[in-house]
Amino acid sequence: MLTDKEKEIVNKLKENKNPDAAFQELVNLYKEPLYWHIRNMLKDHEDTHDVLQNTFIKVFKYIKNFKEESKLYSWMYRIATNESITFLNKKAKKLNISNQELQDHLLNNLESDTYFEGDKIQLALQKAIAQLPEKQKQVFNMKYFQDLKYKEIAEILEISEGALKSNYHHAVKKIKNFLDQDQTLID
Amino acid sequence: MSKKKHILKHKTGFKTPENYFEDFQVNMPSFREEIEIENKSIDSGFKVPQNYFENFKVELPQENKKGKVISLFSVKNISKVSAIAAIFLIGFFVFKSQFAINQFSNEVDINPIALEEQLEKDYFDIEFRDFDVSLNGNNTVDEKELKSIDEDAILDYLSENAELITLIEE
Repeated sequence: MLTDKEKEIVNKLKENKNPDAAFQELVNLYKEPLYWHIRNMLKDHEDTHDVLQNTFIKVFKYIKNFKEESKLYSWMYRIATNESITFLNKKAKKLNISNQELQDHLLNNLESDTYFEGDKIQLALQKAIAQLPEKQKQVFNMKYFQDLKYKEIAEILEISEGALKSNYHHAVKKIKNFLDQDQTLID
Repeated sequence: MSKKKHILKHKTGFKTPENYFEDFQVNMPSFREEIEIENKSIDSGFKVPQNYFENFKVELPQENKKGKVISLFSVKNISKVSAIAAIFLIGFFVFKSQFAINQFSNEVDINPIALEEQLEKDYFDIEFRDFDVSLNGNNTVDEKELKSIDEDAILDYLSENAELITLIEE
């Protein structure tokens, strides 16, 4: 299940053998993929940074409970996904708006975000993704942007590959329709 | 997961501050404190004897030879006993209800005037008995004792207790 490197890190953390160094290795290995996974969900860099911190803290805290029945990265991605969803729910509640209104809010902020350098097409794509149901959104982001395999996504989201392919297919179709209707943005 | 996953397949338009990933660190100090607090709560300070867990055994109680248990009540006996008990119970309730009816009918025949007279008589009897008690108790006045008291002493006592004099005058 685990790669040799992952096994080594996990054992060091579980057995408390130089855990700081082992944890740093883990952070170096996964900070970027986890960052992009979170960023695609939250859009904002500062929010992403906070959630990434929390994700690693939870990984360190609960590594002793990691049963090694799933792959380490899928376990970490699950934590990151849950942390991101919790963050979004809290933010919507704080602003007293619905989750869909929050998505619109995040997209509006994106246009003036110094850490967003996308062109009109990329902005339109983000708007199209924001219209998708939560599960389809996650599947599309992981497949299209992060290029994860269906098997890997299935492990992270704990759904069957069949359901996953169906989700991705529907997501792509909806995005195409959205972009066709919103052609003026791209022109 | 391969290293290539670190690079996004398609451009999202998102970017990070310069050297963000190079400088990225998990905020360890506060985080370590939190972990240490948790560990402290686990480490309660209790100790166990040396090799306690290595030598730990669950001592199951040995099965004792049990004598034959004879039931006091068989199903046959229980049915007989219950039948007898039921007869007694029914008899008791019938007797009790009959007694209550008789008593009620007797009470109905009482003349209200006679009842009133009886109550009044009881009342006076009680009062009279109270009076008797007061006379027969320790508060009784002995004539010999009264005569033995010096008259001057009585007058002195009364002069000291003006309230008593007022009461006597009234």
